[in-house]
Amino acid sequence: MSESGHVIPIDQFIGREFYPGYEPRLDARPYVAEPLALFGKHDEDRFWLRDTMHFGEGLTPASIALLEDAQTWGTQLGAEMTGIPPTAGMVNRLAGVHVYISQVPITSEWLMAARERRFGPLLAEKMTDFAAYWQGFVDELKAGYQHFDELNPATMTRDEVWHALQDAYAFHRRGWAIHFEVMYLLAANYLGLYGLAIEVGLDATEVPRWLAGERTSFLATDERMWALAMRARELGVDQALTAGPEQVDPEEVRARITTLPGGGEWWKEFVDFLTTWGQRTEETCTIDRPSWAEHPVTPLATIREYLATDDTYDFAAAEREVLGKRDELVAAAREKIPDEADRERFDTALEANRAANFVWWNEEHNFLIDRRIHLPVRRLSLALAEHLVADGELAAPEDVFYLFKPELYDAMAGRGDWARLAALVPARRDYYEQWRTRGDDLPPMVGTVPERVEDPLMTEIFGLTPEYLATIRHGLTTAELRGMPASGGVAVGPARVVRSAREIDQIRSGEILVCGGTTTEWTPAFGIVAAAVTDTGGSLAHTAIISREYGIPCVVGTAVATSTIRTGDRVRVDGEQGVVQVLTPGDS
Amino acid sequence: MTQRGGSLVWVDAVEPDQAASVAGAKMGRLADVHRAGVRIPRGFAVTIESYRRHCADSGLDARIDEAVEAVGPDPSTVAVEEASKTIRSLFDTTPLPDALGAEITAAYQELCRRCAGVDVPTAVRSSATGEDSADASFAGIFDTYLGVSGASEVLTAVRSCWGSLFTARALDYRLRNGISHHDMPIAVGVIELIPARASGVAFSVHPVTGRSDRVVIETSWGWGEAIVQGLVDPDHVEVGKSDGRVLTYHVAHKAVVSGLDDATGRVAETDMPAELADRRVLDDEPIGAITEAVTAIERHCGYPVDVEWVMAEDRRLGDPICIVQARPVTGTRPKAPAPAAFDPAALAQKYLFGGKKRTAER
Repeated sequence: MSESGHVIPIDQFIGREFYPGYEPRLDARPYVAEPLALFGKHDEDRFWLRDTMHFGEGLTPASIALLEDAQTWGTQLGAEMTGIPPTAGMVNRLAGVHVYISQVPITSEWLMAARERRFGPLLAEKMTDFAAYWQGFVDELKAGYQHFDELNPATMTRDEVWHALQDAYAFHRRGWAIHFEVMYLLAANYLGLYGLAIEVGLDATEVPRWLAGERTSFLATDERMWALAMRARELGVDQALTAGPEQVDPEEVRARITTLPGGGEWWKEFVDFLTTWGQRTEETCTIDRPSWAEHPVTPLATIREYLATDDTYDFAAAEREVLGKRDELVAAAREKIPDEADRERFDTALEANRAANFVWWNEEHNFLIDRRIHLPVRRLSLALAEHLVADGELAAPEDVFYLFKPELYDAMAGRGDWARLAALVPARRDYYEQWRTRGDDLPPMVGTVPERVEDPLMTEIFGLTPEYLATIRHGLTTAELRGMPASGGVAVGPARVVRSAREIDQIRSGEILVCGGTTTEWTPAFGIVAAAVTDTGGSLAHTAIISREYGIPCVVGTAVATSTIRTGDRVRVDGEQGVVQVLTPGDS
Repeated sequence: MTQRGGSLVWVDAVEPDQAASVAGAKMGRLADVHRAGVRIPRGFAVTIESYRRHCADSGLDARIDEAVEAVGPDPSTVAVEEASKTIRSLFDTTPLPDALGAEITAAYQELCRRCAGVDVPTAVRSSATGEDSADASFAGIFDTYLGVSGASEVLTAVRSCWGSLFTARALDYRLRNGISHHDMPIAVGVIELIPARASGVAFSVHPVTGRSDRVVIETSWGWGEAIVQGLVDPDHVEVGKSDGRVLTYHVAHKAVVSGLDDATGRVAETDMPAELADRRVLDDEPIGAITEAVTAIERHCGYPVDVEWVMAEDRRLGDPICIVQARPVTGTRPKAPAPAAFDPAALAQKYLFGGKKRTAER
């Protein structure tokens, strides 16, 4: 790390009690380069970014095993399998129940060169026919989901469920191995186009916009929710969806709507929608949370908000506009290249990136992996817990989320003490609740803030650009924030500062969304907000991609938006320049 | 004023085929730039002949030879430094011939008249034979004084430039390579110091990749010394040579500026005012003027050039840019054939792994 790095102390996280009864177990801890750990003083020599993008709400003990599979083991395995030169993956630290992430850099020049020799040919091979390469993984994952969906735990014995749960854990890990193999390869292919843009003298920050407009399953989900909103109007049952308390209670909505003529029909269509499109949770790895299909608060709140606006959203028109803008930008960029041979290289590179579109994939894969891959573990954990409750070993099924994975494995193998574990659950639940609410007060970054970060996923997705890092180092808070211009246009409106996916339903039409960093769960909000601003995130962060698809202005990676702007402030967002101004403070 | 064999020549009046042999490499090329139809500052050169005559007539030659011989062919660093100090003080203490002094004074007054000023500040620059030549071994090691005002200061600066032929580095190089100082006499240019709003360098080819389809400009506020000496990170501009379009403009954080020091009247480096540090220096219009000048010089010379240029404080839209130095581009790589296929791993490695760069490497 840079000598001039600015140090944000991590003392507050050191030596604190972790989840009661926790015993460090290295043998049960998956990693390739470096294991997940609690913070130690030596960690102050590196930077640690709080990952609100994936884990804003904090993790229960059972979810921590899934975090290890994903961000520690998964990234490290992906980096090792592909041999991407500058990084050995990422690694996590825990502050209470909250997640910090850092990079495992590769500094040896020999190693980097050796990896480069290995990486280039592999990348070329996989990019030759990316569609087929990715489709192979899609088929594999879908077959896995089908297998688990077809299980009927209600008819299975305790042992059968236990074996199926172990399969689900294995499937989870396999999903993350696929995830980071593909992600590192695609990131490099994308950065190749970025490098070529620099080499031929183009504005490389335009690259993601050249690749915009390809349909994702998330946009398809939004479109179906709009259709469901319009369908409710058509059937005359929309009042039943817009009435009721602020906080949506799905059971109450169902009861209300199914008493109306046409209401039962609408609810059936809604359930059909959930079966296909509702296999997603609010956050990554968090198995204590229900999916949309289990508990559809977010889709119902979204449909209600769609009904609150008078107009409809024309997805086809928006798509045409995004594609038109994309083609204009590409033509203008191409025109700027003076050399004929360079123009040909540009065409080849763009074609290669359209065939293996990282901007698209970076959204699309979430639907198949990040938001879903833990659902079989959740379902089978709860099914196992039903047996454990029946056998008198746990007090309630949800208690299983407060056991660490090695504890569960030991106890199931007859090496554990169920009574001890069951007794720990209430204290662990208290610990989780007490830390969960502290999330907003935690520093976005701790340790030594470097001048730059080498891992391309860290720069492009988490947005750790030199500018972001400089803002963190200098602790800037001004009326004018600067970030990465992620989606063009200018918008003025009242700010809505949203701290977690749970607060999505507070967002109102025409507001400017200000948040730490959105995840896929936030997608529905983009149909109604006027602009989006984030603390973290790069050109390929979810917020950036979705803003471009919806054609709204967006500035990402301002570092300090949520700590500077308050709900109700009147703000101006310039998505071309990457500037956000507070025009007039709100009344709060 | 005289021409061949004379003491002084005006840079805009010297015969092109004699310019370098009379006024040294640097002033010779400036005269050539003028012939290419490009604007240069007004000024004159104290000729190589003047230097020779002074060294011979005053007895300096004999005393220099004595000091040089004393250190021998393979001297220690200390011995070279001692000899350098001795010789340079000889130049400082040996008065100019009265006639030459009067001629330089008169030429300086004429320069002031041409510039419509009193005690006009000047740049007094060494212009050695062989300096800035293709091998460029001596580039930049002889003295230049910026902000020299008044006749007597000019006279002193001329003698100091002569003495700079004997800096320890130059002396050491000649001794090791068996070159006699008699074989590389020096001229001195006395050139108006243009009040600079901004300055910089410009290359008629990409200095790193050798690509000939673009002009590369680096610029900062004030005079160009801080850029030439690498003291400031300048704005970096790349321009398409065929159509003059700006392809890249990277605004740098410019922490240092070369400006006039009020106490000494000389150009010196100070902290850049905060309001200028991150401001873009050049609009498209002056970029066009610089591109036009550097391509005209390249066309005239028939080889790629790099130049130092100044944008005057009172420059108006459409005015030409002033070129203060030009020389053949040194050290460019041969133009690499453009790779036919897209090699993402190599490009990512080159530009991004290890920290994202915003512009092509310089």
